[in-house]
Amino acid sequence: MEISVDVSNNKAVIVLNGRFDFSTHSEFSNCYSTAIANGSVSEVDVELGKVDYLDSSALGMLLLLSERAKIANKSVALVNPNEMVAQVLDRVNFGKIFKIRK
Amino acid sequence: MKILVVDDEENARIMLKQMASFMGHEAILARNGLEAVQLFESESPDIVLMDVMMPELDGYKATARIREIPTEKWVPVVYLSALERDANLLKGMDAGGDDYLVKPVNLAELQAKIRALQRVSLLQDNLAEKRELLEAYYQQAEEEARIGSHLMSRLTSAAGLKEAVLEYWMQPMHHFSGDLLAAARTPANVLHVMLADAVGHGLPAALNVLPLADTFYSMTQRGFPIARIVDEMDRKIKQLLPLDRFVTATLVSVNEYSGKIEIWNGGNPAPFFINSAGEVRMIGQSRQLPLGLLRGHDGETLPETLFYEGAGQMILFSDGLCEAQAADGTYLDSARIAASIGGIPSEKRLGAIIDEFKSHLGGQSIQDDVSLMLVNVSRDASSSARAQPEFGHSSETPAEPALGGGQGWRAQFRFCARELKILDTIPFLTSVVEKLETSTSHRRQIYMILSELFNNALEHGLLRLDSTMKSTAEGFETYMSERARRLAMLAEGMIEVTLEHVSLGGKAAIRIHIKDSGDGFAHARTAGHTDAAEDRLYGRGIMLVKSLSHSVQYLGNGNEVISYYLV
Repeated sequence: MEISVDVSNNKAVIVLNGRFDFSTHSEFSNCYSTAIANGSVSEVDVELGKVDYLDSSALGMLLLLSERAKIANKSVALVNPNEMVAQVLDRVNFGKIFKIRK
Repeated sequence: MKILVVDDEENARIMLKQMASFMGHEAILARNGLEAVQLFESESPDIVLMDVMMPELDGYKATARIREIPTEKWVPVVYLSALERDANLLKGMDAGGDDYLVKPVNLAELQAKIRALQRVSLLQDNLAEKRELLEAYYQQAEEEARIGSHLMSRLTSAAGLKEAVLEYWMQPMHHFSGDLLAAARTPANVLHVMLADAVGHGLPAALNVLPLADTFYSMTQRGFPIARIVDEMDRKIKQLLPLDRFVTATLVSVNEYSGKIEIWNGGNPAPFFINSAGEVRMIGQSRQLPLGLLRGHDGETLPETLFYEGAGQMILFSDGLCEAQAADGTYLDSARIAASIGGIPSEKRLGAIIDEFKSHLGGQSIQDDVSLMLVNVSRDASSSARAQPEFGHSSETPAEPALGGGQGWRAQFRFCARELKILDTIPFLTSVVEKLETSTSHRRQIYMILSELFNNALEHGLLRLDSTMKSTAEGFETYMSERARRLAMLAEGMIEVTLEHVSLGGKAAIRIHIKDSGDGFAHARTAGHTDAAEDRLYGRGIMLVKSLSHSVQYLGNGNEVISYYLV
C-alpha cells in the first residue's frame, strides 16, 4: 500500500489505498507521526476513499493515532469510507471515538 | 588465523611460515600427509596449504581424510604443487580441496588467495552463527506455540462447551486462534455463552483473549449477570493490553425458565435468532465499543433483551465468517448466511453454514480466524427447579412453622443505599450460604430464591418500579434502564437480609428473611390462587420462589418476606 500525506493550511490528509492491514503498520505510523509532529497542523484527516478492506489491526492503528493526536491536542476524522469499511467502523462503534465524514 | 603448512621440503615449509607470520598469521608445520591429518585434528587450523607429492600419505589422500573429520566450521584446503594445474585440479577438488596453485608459488598471489579465503571463512562463520540463532529462535517459537496451543485448547474445551445445547466450529488462520468460545451456567442455571475475537491473529491474539476466559468462567459461576461480566472484562483488557489491542465480544445469556435471552455485542457481527418456524432474524446488533475501549468512551453496557416461546436457535459467529473473501473479492455476507439456513432443520444448520463458507471460499485460504456457535434454546420449567416437598401452599398459612432451638448459624446483613449501588448483593449472599453450608448442591436453588426476593425488595420496595412495565420486550428495556436510573439516584432506604440455619419439623432448612424499608404491596393477591392471566413476565418470579421453597410468606404490609428452603 502507498500512503501519502498532504498538508495544506492547518490540515494534514493521510491518503490510504487498497488493503489497510497489519502490513501497513510502520508506514502508517511514520505518516501520522510526521503529521502530528507538524506544529502548523491542527486537524488530521484519514482519507479512506480508496481503501477496500481494513482489518482489526488497522483499527488498532487508528486508535494509536487517535491517542497520539489527543495528546498533541489535534482532532482526527475518518473520511469517505466505502460501504464495506463503513460497515466495519459501524460494527465496532468507532463513531464514539472518531468523527466519521462521508 | 592459524595456517597448517604441509610440505616434505624444509625450505618450502620455512618460506611459507615466514610469509604467514609476515601476514600476521600463525603457522603450524607438517612434514607429510599423516602428520597433517594429526595436526588438523589436534590444532584445528583455519586454512590448510597442502603439498601434493609427499611420502607416507600424499596431499590428495590427506585432504580426503581431513574431509572425513567432522568440523564445526568450513576449513579451505589449497594445494601447492609442482604438478601441472589443468591435469590435477579436478582430482584435487574431488578429494575435497578448494583451490590449486602451481609451484614455484607466486607469493603475492598466495597472499591474495589467503585473504580471499579468510573473507569467505568469516562469511561462513557469520552464516553459521546466524543459522544457530535462527535455529534457537525456531525452537523457542515452536515451544511457545506448543504451550500456547495447549493452554488455548484447554480453555476452549472447557466443560461448559460440552453442553448438549451447543454446537460449534472453529477454524484458526494460524497455529492457534485469536477467537475464543466459552460457555457456562450460573447457579440459577442461566446459560452464558461468549464469542470473543481479538485484534490480529496467531499467538499474540490468542494471548489477548486468555484473560477473558478466566473472568467469564469465574463470574458466571458466581452468578453475575452478563453486563457486569462485560464491565469486568473491559477493565481487564484495558489494564493488560496495549492501546491498539482490543477484543470484540458477544455475550449471550439464556434463561430457559423465563424464556429470556440477553445479548451484549461489542463489535461482532449481529447474531441470528431462528424461531421454531424457521424464521431467521438478526438480533443484538453491535451497539457498543469492543472490550478494552468501553471505559471512558461509553457509559452503559445494557444488553438487548429477547423473549422467546418454544424452541429456537441462536447463531453467533466472528467476522472471519461473514468477511470470508472469495477469489473474485466478494464477501460471504451475513444476509447470505441467513438466507442459506432458514429452510433447513436446526440440527443441520451448522453443517450448512460450514458448506456455504467453504463453497464461497472455493479453495482460497482464510484471512482471519473463524468461529461459529449455535445455541439451541428451549423452554424448560421443570428441570431448572427441583421442587421441594409441600411447595407453595404454606404461603397461605400466616403463622411461622414450628422451629427447633437456635443451634445453627445465623447471619444478618443490612444494605443501605450506598451498598445497594456498589455491591453485587446476590452473588455475595449466595457465597455466604455456600461457605456456611460447605455444600454446593443447593447453591442454584438458594441463589434463585435470594435473587427473586431481593430484587423484589429492591425494585418494588425501594425503587417503586411498576412490574406491569415489563409486559413487553420494549417495556422490559425501559424497565431495566429506569431501574438503573432510580438506583443511581437512591438516597435512602435499606434492605435487611437474615439467613439462618434452622430445623423445620426435624429437617434442616435455611430461613431467608428479607425486609425492606419500602411501603410494601398488596401481597394477598399473589398469595392466593394464581390468576391464569397473571402476566408471564413479572408474575413468574414469585411463582418460581414458591416452587423452590418449602414455604413462602409475606408479612406486615408486604415489605417483609420469609422463605424456608430444605437442605
